[in-house]
Amino acid sequence: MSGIKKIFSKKYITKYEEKIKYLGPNNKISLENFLLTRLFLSIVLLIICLIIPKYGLILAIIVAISFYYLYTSILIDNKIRIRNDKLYDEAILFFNMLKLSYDKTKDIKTSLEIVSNKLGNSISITFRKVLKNNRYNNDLKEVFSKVIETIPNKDVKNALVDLKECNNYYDCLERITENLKDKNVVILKSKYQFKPIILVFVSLVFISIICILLFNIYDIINYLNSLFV
Amino acid sequence: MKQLIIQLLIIFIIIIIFYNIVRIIRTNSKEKRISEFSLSKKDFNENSILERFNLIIWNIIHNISNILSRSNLFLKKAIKYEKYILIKEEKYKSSIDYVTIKYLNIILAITLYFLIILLFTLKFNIFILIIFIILGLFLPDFLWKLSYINKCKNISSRLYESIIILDDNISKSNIYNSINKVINESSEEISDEYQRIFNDLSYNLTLYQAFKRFYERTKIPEIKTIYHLLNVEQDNIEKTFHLIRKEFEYIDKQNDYKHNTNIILNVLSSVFVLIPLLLIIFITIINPDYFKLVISSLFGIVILIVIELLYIALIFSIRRVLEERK
Repeated sequence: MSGIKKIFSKKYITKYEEKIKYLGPNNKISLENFLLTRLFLSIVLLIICLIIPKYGLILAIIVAISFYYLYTSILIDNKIRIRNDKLYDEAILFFNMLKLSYDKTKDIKTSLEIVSNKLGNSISITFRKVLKNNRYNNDLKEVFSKVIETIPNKDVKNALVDLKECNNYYDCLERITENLKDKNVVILKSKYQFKPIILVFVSLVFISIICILLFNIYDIINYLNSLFV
Repeated sequence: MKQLIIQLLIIFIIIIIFYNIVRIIRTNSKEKRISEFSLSKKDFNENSILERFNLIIWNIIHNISNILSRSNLFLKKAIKYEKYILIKEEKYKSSIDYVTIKYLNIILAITLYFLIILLFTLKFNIFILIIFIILGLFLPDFLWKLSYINKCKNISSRLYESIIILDDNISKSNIYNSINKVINESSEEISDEYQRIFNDLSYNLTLYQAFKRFYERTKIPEIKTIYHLLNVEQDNIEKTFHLIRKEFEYIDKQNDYKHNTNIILNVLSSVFVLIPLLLIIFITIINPDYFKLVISSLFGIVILIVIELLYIALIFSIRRVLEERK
């Protein structure tokens, strides 16, 4: 950690720390590894591209910058997006189980312990870890705050904030699950609305390339022959 | 000479079949005339020709299965086929029968290959024989898996129905009677799975364990919700099933929307997959030599491979758009 503190600013490290927390409890990427490998590989690519004569400098800058952003996008942003989509279903199941358990135990902490031990999704694993770390701490609000920090989904985050601040847990859980279900349906509808357009666009791109190749196959062969013969 | 004998043999078989059909038709017409004055055919427990044929085949399969079941290796292989057997089929089917069918299918594939060679006087080719053997070995597995996937789809679409029956009946009676009601009132697939749940409960497994086993068999994601909720609360099942029903109402709402959009997507995707194929057929009809000339040059072959790769990429992209990211 001290190594990256010498290279990157505090603000920059905090930003990526937050992002890595959003990856959830099953994440294997550490902050130091990510930042250092990205920097090191970008420099290596920059040097390699600089060796190319004529357009080396421009190419080196383009390649290094694109790698810098692509690396983050593939390793972190894409995974956060996937987790964000999954969190709706995970949260609905988690809150439903919590509701059932709370109805029986009438104690939210005990219910949280029961549910997080019985369920294996990312929210429950996070709760399990945080509850274990706060074994001797009776302040449940701190537990919720630590879990909220790891949630990238805005609606699930709001639901947890609601649960943290409320007094009547059963009604709150009822409200939360209904809200999440409604939101999930709205998101599903918006996702499905664009599917035909994406399908048409992607298919047309491929079909037009296939058509160009099929109809101009002799011209392409002649051109290639003239190049190599 | 060889061909002539085969041809005569085929003609002889056709004549026998034709003679039998004529005989059955004549018998039927006679039966119709005297049916009013005699006992009906239903009064006799008579098997049809197909049923008798089926019985003979199953007898052969059982005999071979008896021999195979002496080996532990075949018994181990047979375990994965257990899920394909319905509860009502358990009386006459065992998982080792599936292994037997697979090996019989290989023999059938080899016989078919030699029959084709004899009929069309082709040359023996070891590679084609290997292809036939591989097909014989894997085709049954593929077909069984396909039918099992269809079964799971049917279960998934009718699961909500069974939950409604369970929820309505649990308040009036106990879980055993409610499951029995589902067994009696639901479709064959659902009824079979609930019969298994009933059997599990009778072996002293909990409801949570029984539903977890149901999920492990079918891998239907909705069942996960059931067994997770049952895991938390098993004392007050009435309340749990009420919550499960509410969850399924929501899942059903989602599925309805997905189904409506999927119809449009499926039509669109099949049209887009067919367009390149139709284009190639169209070009071949207009100019039959179009691709012959292309194949004669190295670059032509390379471009054709590129086109094929693009077509495969098109299919994969369509599948990617169609499938959900969950």
